[in-house]
Amino acid sequence: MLVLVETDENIRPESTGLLNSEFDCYLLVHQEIERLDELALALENTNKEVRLARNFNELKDKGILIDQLNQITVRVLK
Amino acid sequence: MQQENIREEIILSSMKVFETYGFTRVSMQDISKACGKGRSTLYYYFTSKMDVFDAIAEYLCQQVFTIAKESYSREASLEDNLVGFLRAKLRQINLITKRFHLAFEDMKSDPALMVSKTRHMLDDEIELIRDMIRGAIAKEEIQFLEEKDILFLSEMLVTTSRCFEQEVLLFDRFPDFEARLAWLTSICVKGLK
Repeated sequence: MLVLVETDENIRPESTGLLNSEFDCYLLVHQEIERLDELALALENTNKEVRLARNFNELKDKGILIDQLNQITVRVLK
Repeated sequence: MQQENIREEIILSSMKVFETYGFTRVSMQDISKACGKGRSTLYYYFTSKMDVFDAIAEYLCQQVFTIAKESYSREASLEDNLVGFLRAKLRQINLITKRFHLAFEDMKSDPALMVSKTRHMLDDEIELIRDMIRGAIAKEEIQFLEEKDILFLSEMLVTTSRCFEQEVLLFDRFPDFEARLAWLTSICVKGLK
């Protein structure tokens, strides 16, 4: 699941609804990477695979090419 | 919190882990737990355990250099400055070796790894020694040297002192290292007069 975080407020992991979703891998994207820390930790604690990035270029640098993924669900957190 | 702050926070928290368990037995999971951050956050800033360890080595080398540099005074003689700086550096490294003795034990089996981790601050150290030598020439304490010779001499002093440090700290040689260091420096400075 590709999660685009567009809020500058603190993200409360439990209120995102992501902790109960059925996906195995999460790509969290936010310009201020520090804001993703708590959500990433909460997802990892539910045995999810998580990758962080500031933008799409960073995802590409890490070898994650969105257009080559077999399945993807996009979620925008505002 | 800024990106650099998080990086530093990870470095500082992971120090305790390497201090307690050495290098070999530590995993990224241990580091992640110690700094209270997710593995994904950790991997965002560092590619591997070695990368974290390298950042710690750089941080500590910087700290050692900063403290040792405080002994430098433009008014003091070249011999006093060299002995003061090298002795202060050795004392600082000695404290670090004791603190991270398990990690140093792990590194003994791979001296190349040890060398790579101590190459930080090399240029700054050479620059400082160059400044000491230039100062001594200006005060006519030692004979005139061309700039290329000052550079060569500085590089030799720094690299030989680093070899000496490794023997003292990794292999427990020269128990009277402070006196030996002063003696060696004295011979070197006399040769320059």
